[in-house]
Amino acid sequence: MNAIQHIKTTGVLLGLLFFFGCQQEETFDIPAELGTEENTELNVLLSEIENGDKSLVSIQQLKDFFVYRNVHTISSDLVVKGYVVSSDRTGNFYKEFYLQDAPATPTVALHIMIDQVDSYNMFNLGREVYIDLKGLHIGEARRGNGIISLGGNLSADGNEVESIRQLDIQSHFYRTKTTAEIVPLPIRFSEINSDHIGMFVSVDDVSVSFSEQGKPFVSPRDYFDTQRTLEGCEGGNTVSFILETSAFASYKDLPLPSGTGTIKGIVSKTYNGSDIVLTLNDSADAALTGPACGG
Amino acid sequence: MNGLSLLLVTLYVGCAMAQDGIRGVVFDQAASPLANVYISATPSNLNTTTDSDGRFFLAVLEDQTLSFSFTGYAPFVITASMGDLVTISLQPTAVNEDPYQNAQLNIIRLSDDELGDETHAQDNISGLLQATKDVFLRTAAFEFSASFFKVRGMDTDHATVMINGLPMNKLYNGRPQWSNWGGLNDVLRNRELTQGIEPSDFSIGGVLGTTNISTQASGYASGGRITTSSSDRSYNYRVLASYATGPMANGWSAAFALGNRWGASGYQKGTFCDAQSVFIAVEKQWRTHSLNMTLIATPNRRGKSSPNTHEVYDLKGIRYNEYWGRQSGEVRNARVKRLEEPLVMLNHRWKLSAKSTLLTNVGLQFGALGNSRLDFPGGANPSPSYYQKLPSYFLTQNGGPDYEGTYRFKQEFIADGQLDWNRIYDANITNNTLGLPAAYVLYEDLTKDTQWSANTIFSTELNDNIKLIGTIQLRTLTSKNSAEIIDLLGSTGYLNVDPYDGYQYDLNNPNSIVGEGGTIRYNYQLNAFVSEASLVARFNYPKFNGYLASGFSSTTYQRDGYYLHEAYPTSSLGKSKKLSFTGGSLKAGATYKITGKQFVQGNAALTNRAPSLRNSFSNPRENNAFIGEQAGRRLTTERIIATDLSYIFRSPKLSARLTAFFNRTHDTNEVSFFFAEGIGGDTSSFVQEIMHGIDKQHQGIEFGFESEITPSFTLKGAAAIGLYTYANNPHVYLTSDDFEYLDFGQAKMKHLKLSSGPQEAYSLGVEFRENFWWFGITTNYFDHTYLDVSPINRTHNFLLDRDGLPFTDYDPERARILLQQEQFDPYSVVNLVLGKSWRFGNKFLGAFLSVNNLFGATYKTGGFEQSRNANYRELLEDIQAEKRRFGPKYWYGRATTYFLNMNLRF
Repeated sequence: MNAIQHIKTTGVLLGLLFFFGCQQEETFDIPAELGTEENTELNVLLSEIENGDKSLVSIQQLKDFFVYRNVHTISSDLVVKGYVVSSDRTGNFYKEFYLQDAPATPTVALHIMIDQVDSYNMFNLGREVYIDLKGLHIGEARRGNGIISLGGNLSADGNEVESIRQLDIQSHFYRTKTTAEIVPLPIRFSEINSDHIGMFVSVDDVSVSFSEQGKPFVSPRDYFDTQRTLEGCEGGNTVSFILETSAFASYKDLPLPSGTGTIKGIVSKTYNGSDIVLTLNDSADAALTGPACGG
Repeated sequence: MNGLSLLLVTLYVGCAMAQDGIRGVVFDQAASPLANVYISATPSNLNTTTDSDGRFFLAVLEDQTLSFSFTGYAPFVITASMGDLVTISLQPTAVNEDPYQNAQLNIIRLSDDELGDETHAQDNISGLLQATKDVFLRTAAFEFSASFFKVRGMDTDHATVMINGLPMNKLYNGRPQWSNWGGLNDVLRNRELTQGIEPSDFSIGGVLGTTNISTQASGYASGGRITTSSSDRSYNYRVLASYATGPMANGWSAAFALGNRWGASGYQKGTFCDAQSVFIAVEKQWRTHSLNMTLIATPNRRGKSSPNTHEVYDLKGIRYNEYWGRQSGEVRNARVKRLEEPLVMLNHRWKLSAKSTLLTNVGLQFGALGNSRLDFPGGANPSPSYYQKLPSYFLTQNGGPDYEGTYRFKQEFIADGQLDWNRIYDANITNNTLGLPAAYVLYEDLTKDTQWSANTIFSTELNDNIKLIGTIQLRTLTSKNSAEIIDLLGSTGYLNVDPYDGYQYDLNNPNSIVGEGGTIRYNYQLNAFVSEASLVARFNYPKFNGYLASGFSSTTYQRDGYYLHEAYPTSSLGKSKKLSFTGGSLKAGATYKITGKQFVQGNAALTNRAPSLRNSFSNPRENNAFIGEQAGRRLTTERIIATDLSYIFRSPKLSARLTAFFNRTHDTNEVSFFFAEGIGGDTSSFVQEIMHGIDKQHQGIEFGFESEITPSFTLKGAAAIGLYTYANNPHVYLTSDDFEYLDFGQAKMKHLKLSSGPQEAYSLGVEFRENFWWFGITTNYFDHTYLDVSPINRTHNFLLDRDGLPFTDYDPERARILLQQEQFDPYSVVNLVLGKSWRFGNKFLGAFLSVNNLFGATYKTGGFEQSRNANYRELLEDIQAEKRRFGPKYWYGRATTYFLNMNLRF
């Protein structure tokens, strides 16, 4: 063969290869309308409420089912609605979140237990959520701890509620497209009582007790939670309150602030329910940098 | 086009395991058949002459170099493979005298199905390195490799692979990166091999043989080849085309090849293949010189597959792969290996005299190796087989077994069990509403290498009996390593902070939000400089031949960190100390001819070599520390002692080899990364485990025979019986962000088995050849395959509580049972090949089918103990559970697979 023939043959082979050479492209459609399915299901739920197949109850009505030291299983077609006010993004909450009845000036809040970590990226702060209640349980996670919780399972003795399984979240929780801005409820420490549990509140003129300023949020000696003392300046009186932080919070090693200012957090209770405490979504909600109260 | 493509589908080619003799026909320049042309074949030493139609047939089972000679015509040399049909046109004038021939020219053909298959973490392709005339090594390549058999139980970093005399083993891990040459089978067939300890004419080599691939353009016979293949192994379809001009009158030669392999899914679901290959070689010959330019580019991407625990395997079977999930209906694999490392080479060959040759080679290889994976800085672990999503987790709750959860998660895992891309996007989009950074991103562990290699090889025949080969070689590598975001998955940016302990990955740019294409997690460069020199003397006498070889090497490594890691403020940014190693090698070997048919051969080597880059730095992603540094121990060269002794029998009807070998490696290192629970009693950490000063022993017997019972019926067999063990108790320490350094002292590893594939393998097969049909069936038996053990569980940490005293419930008898190394069940695999070839004028067509694991045997090829339960109590708790949560992870062999190949030669 001469050079021309070689070139011709090569050309034909090249042509063939392009014919076969379909390169697989790395392109995937981004699911543009995420949550379409969820939204369709939500609309079904809303129409069921509309036509009376299901009843929308308030958080207060739901909590009223709770009988002291017992668990109530919801067997009717009830639905509750609320707004997410806690976040597990920093790890200070774990497999739980709080719903309150309104984005601002709430009147009641509810503790939800789900077997899912990093729920903040599903039930984000301010998200409006409907919960189909049938089959879920109202009770306490630890008998007598004073936090009324919505759960999905019963403990072995039937007296406590346990988390809603991850597999059941989809069939009970319906997010709307609304993410509301949560306005913390302005309050003083002296006014906080168990009715406020689960609400996102703000307290002005607060500082960390002098002896704990600069110490880390969580003591290195604590395996689970550390309780620090906050002091609220209430017209000349100093009212103490507990700030509780989990040893799994990402900001656990940060120093407690040494100034005075507004603190925002969720009203909650200690593990055994003995005390009411304030729990933060994030250390940024405790930017206590101003001058001392009255100073 | 339609007619043509139809034709292509019905075509043949020499395929991976074509095992016929070599047939052909010889014409003169006017296309008339030439009778009585003398043909001699090496290495079989057979010879024949053409019949009155110019036809010939050589009953050989292996690839051969054929020399054609006929008075008045120029001699012609061609390399041909088993099952090939060759057409030769002899020219009256000399145009193609290859001045460079040597007696040990062997050729193999690689199945690129196996070439590309590095989706297993254990990338064992050592068998393929040495597929040759030797029946044992060929069996290892074609019958044993699917079981991840390792020749002599040694890692492939002991085998040297070269292209045109330049070494291709990666400085990073010492291994050849076979995927860089995938899909170019037809043009990478010209190979010279040495076995075991024997040095080659290009390199002193390691102790597991050498392979030199020649891409000299004049070495390809004129003509073209089109191959189409279909398979259900690592790709679904393959098209290859190659064409070579052969030597042209003006001294120029050229060869081209293009290849494409693709498929939505290999044997494991989601393991797609997308691979292109380009090859160009151009050569100019003038007087005593030849200059050859080669370009090889093989961009390829491949979806990886996961090792799985017994629990997962029981629920999902051996094809299950946890790495993929559906996105908008399409299968998307999160773990993709991407390799784009083109190679350019210039080779100058200068025939100084009839007895001396000088080769000078320069090569540049550059490009990217990427391995993608999901990072979840703000989300739950997305792995569908994460332990908290499996039934075993619900059986082992603190409050007792949760049977409902066990049942429901089992059903869920059986029904789905794949990545949930929608949830991943939903999490990111949810985070966007609050202006939060990504919960998930897809990133690539990216290595961008630039390697220059140059060497010069002088060989001269001092007299008829002695040949000297001297080599000087330089290699320099800059390797940039970083993690790069390739898909933000709908989020707005990645917060470049370690989500577990809050450390800034780069304190000089704290809390930076990184977008697509940006660098995250780690960023550093490794520099390596290696200079080598060697001298080989070969002796060749009627009753005896042998060699003496010595080599010297100098190696320098340095890390240069670009990130100031918060946990390592003084040792992460900037240059590390320079690590320097001086190595050397001594080899000697001899073959004694007892009779014309019987030989005795012995080889020995003593080598000191630098550890690979990978085994020099303990955690280069985060700091400058080299292995041993934190423990106050010296990082030394690795010492290798290797010996073997063979008896070889060769006659026309029977060839056989029996070899006994004994190898030891000293002072090697291994680094592993994992999440361990139970470090120092009861804490948990992400750790680097450094095993320092490991000695290993490899001893055993290799046997292979091939017997021609009748001209059309051959019986062949091979056996490997090895004992590959740890030979000492190496030192183990851990490093981590969380505790810097923890010394665990010695790990009780001595006498434990190496997890280097089956330590015993046997093969017996028959081949029939008749009238251009051929058929072969082989049955193979594998035994003594062992699980890779966790060293940390063999240190004193295993029995110590947090207070440094042994666990109160420690029971040595029970511990012995817990730590018993798992030996896999033996298994048999039957493989079958069937082929036929046709001739149409001067065109040749062939079809070939291979079926592997005909009876679908299920077997484990490898696996490792998870080090997650790092002490007695944790491990006992895990093993006592109804189902193990952190049981070993395994790779399984493929059940029945096929490979169909058609080829047209013209």
